[in-house]
Amino acid sequence: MPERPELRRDLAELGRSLPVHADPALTAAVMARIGAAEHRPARSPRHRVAVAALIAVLVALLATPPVRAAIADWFGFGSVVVRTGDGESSGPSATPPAISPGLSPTQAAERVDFKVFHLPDLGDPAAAQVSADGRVLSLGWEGGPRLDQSSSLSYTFAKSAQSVERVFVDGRDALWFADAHDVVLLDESGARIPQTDRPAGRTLIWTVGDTTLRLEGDLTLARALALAESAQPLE
Amino acid sequence: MRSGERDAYAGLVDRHALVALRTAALLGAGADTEDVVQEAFAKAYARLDTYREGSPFRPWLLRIVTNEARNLHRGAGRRRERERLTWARTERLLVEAEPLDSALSAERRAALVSALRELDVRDREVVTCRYLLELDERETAAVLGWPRGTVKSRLSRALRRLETILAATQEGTHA
Repeated sequence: MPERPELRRDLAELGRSLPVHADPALTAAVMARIGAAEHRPARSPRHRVAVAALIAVLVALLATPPVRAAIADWFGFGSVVVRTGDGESSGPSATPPAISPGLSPTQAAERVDFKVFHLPDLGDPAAAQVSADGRVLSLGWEGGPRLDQSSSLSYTFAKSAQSVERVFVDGRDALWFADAHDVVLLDESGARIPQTDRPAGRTLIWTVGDTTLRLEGDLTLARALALAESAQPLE
Repeated sequence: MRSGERDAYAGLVDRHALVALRTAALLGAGADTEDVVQEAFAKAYARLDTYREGSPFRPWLLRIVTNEARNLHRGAGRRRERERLTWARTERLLVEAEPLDSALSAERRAALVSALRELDVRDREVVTCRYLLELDERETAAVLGWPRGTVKSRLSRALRRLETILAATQEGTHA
């Protein structure tokens, strides 16, 4: 039995009263924007395939009206978009890129507007950095793992992997990538940032509050989970 | 691009325009709602290669709409300030709406709007998606980029808080 039916009904009523109407001119305006954009340089060849797939989906939706198909796992986990089934090789795990020294973790944390965590079990990080756009904070340990953090409210990484395992950190959903996989940075609107693709090794992704954390390195799942559960807010 | 593909996309735009507009309006686009939605549809089209075949279009689109709406406030200083601005725009729309034939009394309406203002921003967002926009739990999770479990627990907590705030307001009125 859902709780508080009256309150929920009134909230829906409030939402429905919003003075918003779909004007047929909207579609024309969108198609005009798309037309203008098409005069720009060529788009990827995959585009056409994707449109064909969209058409297929549309047809399927029309054929079976109440289709609320499951949102695939890739869709969104914190700030990370995961796409399974089309990753590259699951070869030897890659070494995470080194972090350029220069900032202390505290200085780095002052440059971002999300809550930052550290992993006291690993000791003090050897280096800390913040991406140029201020959206990703990274901590690195000597010869060891790398911890990337970002606000869950924005896109940051997309991952393509052959498989991903759902695990739990402190009882909350987390994702484990046991094999090497591809990772690419996303801008705030979810578009891929060119030339940021790289292979990534084993990775655990979890969230604490509104922060998405991504621990990458040559770790077993058990070790990664233990580290994740030991994460502490950076004072 | 073949014209048939464009037509198919125009069909998708028609079909999802209303929910996209409502989402943008309630998540802070205010008077820029129409512009935000046009831009979101154009971006979605340019980004069809990140759309996963076979998964529903609507939550994918709404996440783009949400990001577009949030981007409006990017220049507005720190997070707290952005959140305040975002809700102020939404509130203005809701207050101006005041329909004559609503099932809600003007008093209840005003109480709900001010109770929503008191909520923590995450609580407000999840209530907005799930109840004001009437998205289902999976869609809410997709739009906010949260795990489903978080949506569930946040929602139940947010509803409890809303009840508490509403009860306190009512007591204040009758005191």
